[in-house]
Amino acid sequence: MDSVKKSWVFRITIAWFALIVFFAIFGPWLPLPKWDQVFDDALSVTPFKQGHLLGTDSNGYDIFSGIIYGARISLFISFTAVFVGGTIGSAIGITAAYVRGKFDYVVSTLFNVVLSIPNLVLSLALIAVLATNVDPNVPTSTGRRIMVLVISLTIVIIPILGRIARAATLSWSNREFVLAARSMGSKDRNIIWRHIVPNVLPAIFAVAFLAIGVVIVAEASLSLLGAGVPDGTSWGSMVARGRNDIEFAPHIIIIPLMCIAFTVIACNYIGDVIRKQLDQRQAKL
Amino acid sequence: MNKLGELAKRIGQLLLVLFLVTLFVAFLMRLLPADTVDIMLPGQPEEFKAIIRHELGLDKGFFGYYFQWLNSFVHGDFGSFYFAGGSETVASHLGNALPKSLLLMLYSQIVALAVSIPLGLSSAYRAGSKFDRAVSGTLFTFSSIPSFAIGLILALVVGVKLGWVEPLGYVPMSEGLAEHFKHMVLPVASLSFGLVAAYTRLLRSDVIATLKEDYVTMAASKGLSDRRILWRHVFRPSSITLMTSAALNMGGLIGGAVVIENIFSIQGVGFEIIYALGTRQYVALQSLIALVAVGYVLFNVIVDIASGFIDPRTRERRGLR
Amino acid sequence: MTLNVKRSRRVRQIAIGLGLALAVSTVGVSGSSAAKVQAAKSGGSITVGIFDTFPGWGPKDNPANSALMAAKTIYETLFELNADGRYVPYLAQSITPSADFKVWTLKLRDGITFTDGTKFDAAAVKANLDASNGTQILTLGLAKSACTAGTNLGFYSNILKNTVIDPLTLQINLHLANSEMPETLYASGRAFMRSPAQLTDPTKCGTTPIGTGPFKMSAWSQTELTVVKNENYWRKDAAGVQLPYLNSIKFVYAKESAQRANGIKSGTFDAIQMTSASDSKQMNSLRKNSSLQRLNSGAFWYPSTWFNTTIAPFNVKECRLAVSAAIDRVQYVKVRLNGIGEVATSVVGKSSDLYNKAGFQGFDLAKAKTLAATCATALGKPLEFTFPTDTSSDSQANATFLKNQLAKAGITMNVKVEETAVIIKNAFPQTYQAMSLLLNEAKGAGFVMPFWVSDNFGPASPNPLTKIPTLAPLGKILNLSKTNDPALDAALFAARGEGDAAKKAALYKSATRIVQENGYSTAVATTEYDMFVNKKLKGIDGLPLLSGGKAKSMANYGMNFTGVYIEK
Repeated sequence: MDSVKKSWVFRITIAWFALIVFFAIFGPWLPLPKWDQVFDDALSVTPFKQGHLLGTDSNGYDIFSGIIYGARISLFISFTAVFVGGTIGSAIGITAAYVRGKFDYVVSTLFNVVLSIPNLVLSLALIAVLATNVDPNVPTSTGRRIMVLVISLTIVIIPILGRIARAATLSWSNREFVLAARSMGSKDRNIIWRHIVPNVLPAIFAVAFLAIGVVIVAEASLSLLGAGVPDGTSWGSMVARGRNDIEFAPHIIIIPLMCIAFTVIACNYIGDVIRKQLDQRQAKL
Repeated sequence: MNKLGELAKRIGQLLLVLFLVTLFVAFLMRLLPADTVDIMLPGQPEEFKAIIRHELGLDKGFFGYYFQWLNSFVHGDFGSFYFAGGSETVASHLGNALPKSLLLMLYSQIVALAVSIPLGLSSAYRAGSKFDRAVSGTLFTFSSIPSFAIGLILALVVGVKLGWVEPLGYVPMSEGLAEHFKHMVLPVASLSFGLVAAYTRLLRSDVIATLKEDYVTMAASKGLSDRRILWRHVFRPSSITLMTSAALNMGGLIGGAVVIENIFSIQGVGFEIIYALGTRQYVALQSLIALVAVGYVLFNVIVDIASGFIDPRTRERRGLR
Repeated sequence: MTLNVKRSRRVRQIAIGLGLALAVSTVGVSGSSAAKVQAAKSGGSITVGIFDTFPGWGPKDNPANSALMAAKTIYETLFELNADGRYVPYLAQSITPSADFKVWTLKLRDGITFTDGTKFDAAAVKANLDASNGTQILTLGLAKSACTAGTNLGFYSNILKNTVIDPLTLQINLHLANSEMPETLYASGRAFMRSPAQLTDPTKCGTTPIGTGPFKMSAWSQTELTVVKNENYWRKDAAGVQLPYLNSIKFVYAKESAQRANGIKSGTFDAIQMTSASDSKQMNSLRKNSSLQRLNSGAFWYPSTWFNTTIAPFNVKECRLAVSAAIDRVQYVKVRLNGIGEVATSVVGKSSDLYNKAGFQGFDLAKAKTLAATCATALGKPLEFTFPTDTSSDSQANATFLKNQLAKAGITMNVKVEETAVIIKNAFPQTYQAMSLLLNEAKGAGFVMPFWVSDNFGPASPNPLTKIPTLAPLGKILNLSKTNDPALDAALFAARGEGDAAKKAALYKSATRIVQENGYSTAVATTEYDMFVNKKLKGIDGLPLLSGGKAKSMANYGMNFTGVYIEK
């Protein structure tokens, strides 16, 4: 682990995370224009010109502000979906694997059912249904759209992490120390908390970080398909808004894309690091 | 348990999953906070809406509706897209859309495998070398760039600026093989990037593990050439892992295809799903999603059976997942 | 967002009496030279990129802009629009009004057939007009008329009776006087003549178009249409060669402007249509591209925002005017239209007979704030409303831009993203609080006014439909602002019935003033359209019209493909 900590890739990754999390939390208090303030004498300005750090888009919106406000929505959606989905999924998965029997069968079948609908299609369907208002004059508010996005992505995450948790629990619950604890009459709840959860968590974390990357990309894809956050801003909606400008002012779309890619790379990298640690530990056992 | 019994059990499980999946999709559509027909056909006379409601079985309660829909579905009637002056069957749309999506995914898988097999084998063979690290690093980066970003950039740079291939649209093979592939190159390339990274990585670690096995050492001691060992003794067992992984990746590929079809204006199944969603055709949407799910489940079953057929050990391995 | 439900023109330069003269000229041209020309021009297939989906093929379905371009390869209209903005006979030979403009006698061109072999005659035209004024519903029943009872009914409800006088003569009796019947029978290029067999077959009416046009449908979905040459088309070119020249055309829906631009630059598309309403940046870029031909429509279209005056918040006049005052049109034209468009000074454009600046509420932020405050007092809460916009990224950006402008005056606009097809479904009859639709257009007012009057049946209509509770509301289906203003109705009906041009113009301008002073609708900027065409395509300026001067080569529905050929 120490060698990993010293590697420059690891340091950059952590720095990137720190940066975007800082922006996401403190963005609104930074001395910056609001993301949708129009600078109509500065349209499609390239980075570092006319006082715009990352330039402006074709509407005259400051891209740096957009990135910072967008970090908020993109990170909120992805972290919430993965945290909530991961928690619920793990709880169900661990319980099912520990209890076994009919409950396990039902849970596995349900996981399979949800997993048999491709992620993106499932979230599209959920958004189509949950973000619809019959009354043409009642819009789906940005807040509700974000919540629907979170819920739909959460539902997608539950079986993915649930399965991982279940598989990891299965392999741990037959270990000697678990069996020993059982034979000594420890309560199931204690066994799960003391012996299973600590051992299963790293496996879940490894996949959870990958899942954050997947969710950020899914949010961007949904924006591109017109099912994202329409009149707010997220990195995905910045890409969607700028897709027709790619030829004239590529920075409008490249900058949010780079933010997405960096974040995904960082998540994948951390997931990788955790998995490697895990493999080493298992090799030792 | 005898083989016949096991087969019956497997088929029973499969039918249960298929039943539950379609039920789940039907349930999803019923989460709609309003009457389905009111949403599908706003501004139409009530009498007309009542006729449609009855035709669709939406006046029969959830299970009444579901079983009527399921009955039509298994008979190949996937419902209709409704518009002001009439309707078009989903089946007729699928006739055009399905081949486009299937070919898109098939080509993507083929290309991804064709690229990742030599890459995976050679980087495993030279594990730890500069070449290995360069391949891993590059693929790691590429796998983090969303396919739609690659698609948008390829369309502009390769399709328009360089003008090598077509930046959008679809031409069936019947209108010329060359044209067909010229239209397919960019969408397939966009979809393959992520797959190449995943497959290469998987193959590399699998091959490294296999290389340590005794029979490989033995083959080497017998003086067989490295190339022969790599292909004959190492790649063959690993190919099943790869195949299984290709099947599992199908879900992600379907999702990716939805976005890529949108970007390249290919009117495939993903395009139809987005269209049904946008125009609020919930019955058509339900059938389309159910179809995708059923196809995905069946595909996995087929791969499962096929790989078990090739190597009985995988069945156990997959059972553990 | 702007949709257009609309109209146009096209090019066809005249040759008077071509109908008859053609037969003669065909004989006059020697067989071999005609064959040579044929070989030089005929054949080939092209692909065209469009930005609208196909709603269906019945009288109820209104294809917008670029989808209308495709529909016009299959269907034709009795009248056509020429370059001067006048409506001239096309499938019709002539039309003559009575002195009071209540009875019109329509003479038809001879020798035209539908692609199903049915003769195009007075009975066929009667079947079309009966389908549109509701007579078909009364005689055949609603079930057999499933695809004929929609917005078209609002448009033609003034027609009381259609009578076949002889095989090529039809008499049309109206309830209220209409001196602009040719424009009414053109209806923005949408008053298609369909085969009677199509109109009365409810299973095929919306899905199987049968017209008289140069092409016929071979395959379609809502997003793609392929048409093939109509071998028996009634027109020949000046050399006597059978039209059209092309074997087939494929129209492909590509929503995003960059997709269409990529397509034309790479040669995937042979022609594309662009609208300044959402594609201005790509338009500006392509206009500099010397390897493409360009057709431009000019600013002939005036997208409007229609306020629903029957429900909150726009049942309050100040709320409507506040929105109108809060839109900085100069900034909008600069940023969102990239300079392609003129700032609106009236709800219609300068070339329209309806044009009148009086009462139009332009940008005035201070006034907008005052009006919004008055509005808020009347409502008992701040002004907030919902505005639908279509799903393309540029349309959404347009809406977000307006939202931000309104926010400066303290007005909250909630954007609701919907597919165009859904917006149209919800707009007729109007269920939105406010929405944009491009309906005000052209020089004349005959097409525009039905959207401004409260009820197109007109006062005291003897039309039997008005007695049927489910059908009577169809007279109001076009009334997008849901106005109920007797003064406005009176001015518009009087203007339409007026034969004297000066008096008519004065009446129409007074109507525009009423609309603007009450803020029933407002406008931001004009819209224009471009077609970008591969240089290998020739004849894109269109064929001569059969009568009535020079035609316009480009409209909101793009270009005409009848005379287009591929340079060999």
